Amino acid sequence: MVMWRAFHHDESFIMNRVWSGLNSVLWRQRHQFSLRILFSSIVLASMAVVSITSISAILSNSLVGASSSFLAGDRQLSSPRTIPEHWLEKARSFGLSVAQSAEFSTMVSHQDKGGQFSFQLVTVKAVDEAYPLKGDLLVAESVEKEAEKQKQGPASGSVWLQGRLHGLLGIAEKDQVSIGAKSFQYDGILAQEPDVGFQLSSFAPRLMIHLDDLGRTEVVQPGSRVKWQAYFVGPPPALLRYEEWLTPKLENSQKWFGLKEGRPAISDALDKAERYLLLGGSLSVLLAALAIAMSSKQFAQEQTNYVAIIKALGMRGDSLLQRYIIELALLGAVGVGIGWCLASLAINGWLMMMRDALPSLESVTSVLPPIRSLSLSLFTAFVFLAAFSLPQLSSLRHVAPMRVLRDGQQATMARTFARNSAAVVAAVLGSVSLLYWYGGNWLTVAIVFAGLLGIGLSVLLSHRLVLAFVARVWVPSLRSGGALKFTLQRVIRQRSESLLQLAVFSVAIFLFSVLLLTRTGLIDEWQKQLPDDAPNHFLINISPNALGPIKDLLSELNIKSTALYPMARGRLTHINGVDVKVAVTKDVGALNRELNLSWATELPSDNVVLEGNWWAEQSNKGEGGVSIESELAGKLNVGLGDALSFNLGGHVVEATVHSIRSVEWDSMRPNFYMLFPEGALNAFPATYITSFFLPKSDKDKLNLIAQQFPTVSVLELDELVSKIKSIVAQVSKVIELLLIFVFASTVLVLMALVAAGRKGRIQEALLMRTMGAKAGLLHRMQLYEFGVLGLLSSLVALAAAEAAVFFLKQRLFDGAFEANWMIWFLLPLASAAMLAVFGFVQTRHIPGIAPMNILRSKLDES
Amino acid sequence: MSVPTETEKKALPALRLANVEKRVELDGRSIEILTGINLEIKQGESVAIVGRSGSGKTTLLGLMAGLDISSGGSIALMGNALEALDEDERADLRSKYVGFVFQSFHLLPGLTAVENVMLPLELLKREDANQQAVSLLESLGLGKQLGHYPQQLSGGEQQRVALARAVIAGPTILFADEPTGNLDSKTGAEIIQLLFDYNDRLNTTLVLVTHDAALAQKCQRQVTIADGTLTDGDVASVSS
Repeated sequence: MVMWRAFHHDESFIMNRVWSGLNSVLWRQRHQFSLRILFSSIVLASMAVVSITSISAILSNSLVGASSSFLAGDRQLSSPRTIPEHWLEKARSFGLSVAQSAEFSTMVSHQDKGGQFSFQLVTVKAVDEAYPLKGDLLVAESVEKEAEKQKQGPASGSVWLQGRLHGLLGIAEKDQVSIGAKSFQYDGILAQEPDVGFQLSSFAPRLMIHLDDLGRTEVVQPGSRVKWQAYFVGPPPALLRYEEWLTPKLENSQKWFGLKEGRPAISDALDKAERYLLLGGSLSVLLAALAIAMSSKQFAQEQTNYVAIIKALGMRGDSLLQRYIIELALLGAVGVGIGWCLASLAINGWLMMMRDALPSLESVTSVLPPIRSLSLSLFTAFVFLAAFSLPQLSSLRHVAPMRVLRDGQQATMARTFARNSAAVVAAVLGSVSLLYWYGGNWLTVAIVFAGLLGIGLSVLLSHRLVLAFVARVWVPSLRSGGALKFTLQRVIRQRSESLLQLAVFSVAIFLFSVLLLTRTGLIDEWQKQLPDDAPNHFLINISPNALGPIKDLLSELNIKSTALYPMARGRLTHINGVDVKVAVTKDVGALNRELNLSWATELPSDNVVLEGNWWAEQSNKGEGGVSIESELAGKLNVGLGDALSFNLGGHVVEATVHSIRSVEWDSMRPNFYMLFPEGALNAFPATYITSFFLPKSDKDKLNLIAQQFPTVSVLELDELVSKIKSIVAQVSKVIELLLIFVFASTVLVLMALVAAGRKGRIQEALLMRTMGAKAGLLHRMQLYEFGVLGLLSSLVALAAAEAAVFFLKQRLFDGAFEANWMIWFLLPLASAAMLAVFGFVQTRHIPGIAPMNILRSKLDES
Repeated sequence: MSVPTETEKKALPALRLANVEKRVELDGRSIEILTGINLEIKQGESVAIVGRSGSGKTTLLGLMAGLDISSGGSIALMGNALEALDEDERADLRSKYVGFVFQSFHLLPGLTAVENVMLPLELLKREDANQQAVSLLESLGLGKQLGHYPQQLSGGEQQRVALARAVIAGPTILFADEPTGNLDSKTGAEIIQLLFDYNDRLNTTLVLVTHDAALAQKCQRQVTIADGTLTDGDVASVSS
């Protein structure tokens, strides 16, 4: 018992000594390069998580907010009948704000001072005082004055008219305008409605009155065609709850829609940007995780001697492991905290810089990243630290204290790690679950992991093939003793090391390239959809005899327009002889109104024939045929060879579907559901339509057109186009910011890898120095080695990245894949140059280390 | 100064040290590690430097091999004053005249046995590096281990590979730092035998640092160092 006590006393004495000696394992080693890289990786991973979470929040709050102004609310409900009042009450009870409008076509009349009446077909929009819930309603006092933002629509008894209606009716100040039984006081020029769409079917001039006046006009009678709309704004969960309550009650003719359905172009851009952010966030975190993995492995290896000494002094392996776990957890927490602070600074700095460039950020004064993002990054840091550090540190328990006496125990650790398959599985599961959590879908996880697996295989294969080529063909042709020959021999001989470097470089460059290629693809696609000179004005209602003079005037005014398309109005009545009302049970808008039927010899530039052939490729040049837009064909369940009947002013036209086309409705060019071959509709009266780009500074040219061709209607969409463009530009900027983050993560991985091989490099350099190698030779070797590895790995990475982007584009971004050949030239060169310079800078001091150190084995401190 | 002829070269001492000093600065204080070292070693001679730990043996070896520079005095390696040369010029000299055997072998872990041995010849831009290395290793009984990595070799085998690497370029002077320090006595004896064989057969100068008295006795001359100075040896031959 006494002996036991004595022993126990001794043990606690030793333990106390050891604990106080350890004091802080990590703090004492703060100058270790690998520990610094480990810490930086945690900080960067945390920055990535916090920034991306915050930027996503800013995106949805401001950009989506700005975009929903196109709907004048967050959601719209559209109905051909009045919307039941209790539906609106229910929405209010859910905490939603509600506004209403009614839109219909009618005639408006105006009596001038001479008593002459003028009439015009118009689209009337009657709005309540809550309208618009979002977006800008702009009204000018007179034609000469600048339009100003209005909080609500016109007062009861007043009317706002579109500028061209003002001209068409010849209205003067304080004039009265009559709609049905009610006279209205002209009160201003309606310059912009937030939710006015672009539909060729509704290009009559517009005016706006108060909803209370609608009944007084006595225009709306039972059976009148009126589009009732309700607008809703509120927090997303409330909107969702209301949507769940409302949807089952909706009839076919009633539509509930948000940005996605209402403005597909903008919603598509935002959707893609959000997916891109999530993908970028995942990849960035994966890169930071790779850096954590590399540096923790290196750190753990560097701990071997330290651990052996502490164990020789009497500390138990488990206690030591506990100590490391506690300190690493602290390191993780501090790293995450610093990352959070840096991310807050970075985001606010970015906000300050971007406020001018991103108008929708005007209302965002400063951003404190949500506390939730702190817990998310803590979770991320701990998962990766645990997954990648613990197996290494756990294996340190098995380091024999004998190592203090003898070298050469490294193999033990490697074997232990290999056996520790549970830890490897944990690392993979950790990565998968985080990737899923960030990316939000299994497809991204699968594509990224398939890409990584592909990289693994390509690296193995290319390593063998390329190195065999290098060894057999390149090396023998080089001068003996030259730096390049030494470098290549080193790469060939040190197979496992170069394989690891090649793999890690490839993975890092792969992840970066995926994002770079996706970004380039997305921005190019948007640019293509809405180039700088995208048409923003339409000329409608051009009579055939005005065609020539209009063309002349446009070229005189130096305006480049798209082709002039003829339009005849007609209704689709039968499909294969069956009445459309019987053949199509769904509510298809195109069947409720007359369609604009057009004809063309050439396929419009933004159309693609998906099925069948265009006229020129048919033997009879398309005689008796019609080409139908693909989405409408889908809704009508119409395919090639089906017979369609149209009614044009009482005359029936029969045509067979010869082709099905895709149409880019957002391209701002005239587009049609139905296109006939040239001459098919010659017997019917037609007008022409064209579109063109006009900068704001040239707006006065419109007046010339209006003066010379009073019957031609001008549709001004410049505000809408510039809004869409501005949103797309803002989204592009956010994407570029993300790319910078990913680039920083990539650099960190490279640093971690260089740090991992540093000790070996120093040993090799010192040994070569003792054998007579000059500093210049060693410098050139470092430069060439990283350059060669950069070149090889970027080629492997690019091949895998192109494959991954191909799938991502198809599955996630819904776009066409386009190989970017320039990148095959630029990226390998840039990677080789960057890695060469980077590796050189990191290792430049090595040749300068005194060769004497090799006799003292002072490699660790060098 | 004219370039020495081959006959003049053969007459040169392999090493001549005159009043060599080595000081290091530590926390603002100057610490003397070596003082007044005078020593001459002839070509083909075998010399053991012995002394207690911390006496300055390894520092002296490093200075003689041009791995470090002295703080005072002069060292001539094959007639070349090391203190007048920069690091690259000293590296040139080492590639021509010097071979090294280290206590902890210092084989590069990523290279096979034969690749480790080829390294000095490749630095000399010799095209026949591979054949030379293979035949040398075979002569040392390592023909079956040519493609083995250092971690696959026993301690004795590793030191034999290190020895082959040290002698493959035909150095005039072979420096050995505790060459048997990490080996058992039997393997150590084999390595020593090989070292002296080279010394005999090729008239290579052998300078070794050791704690092992028996090994030191095998050398033609023993030089003892204590507290940074030589306590015996042929000081007289230099001063005469």
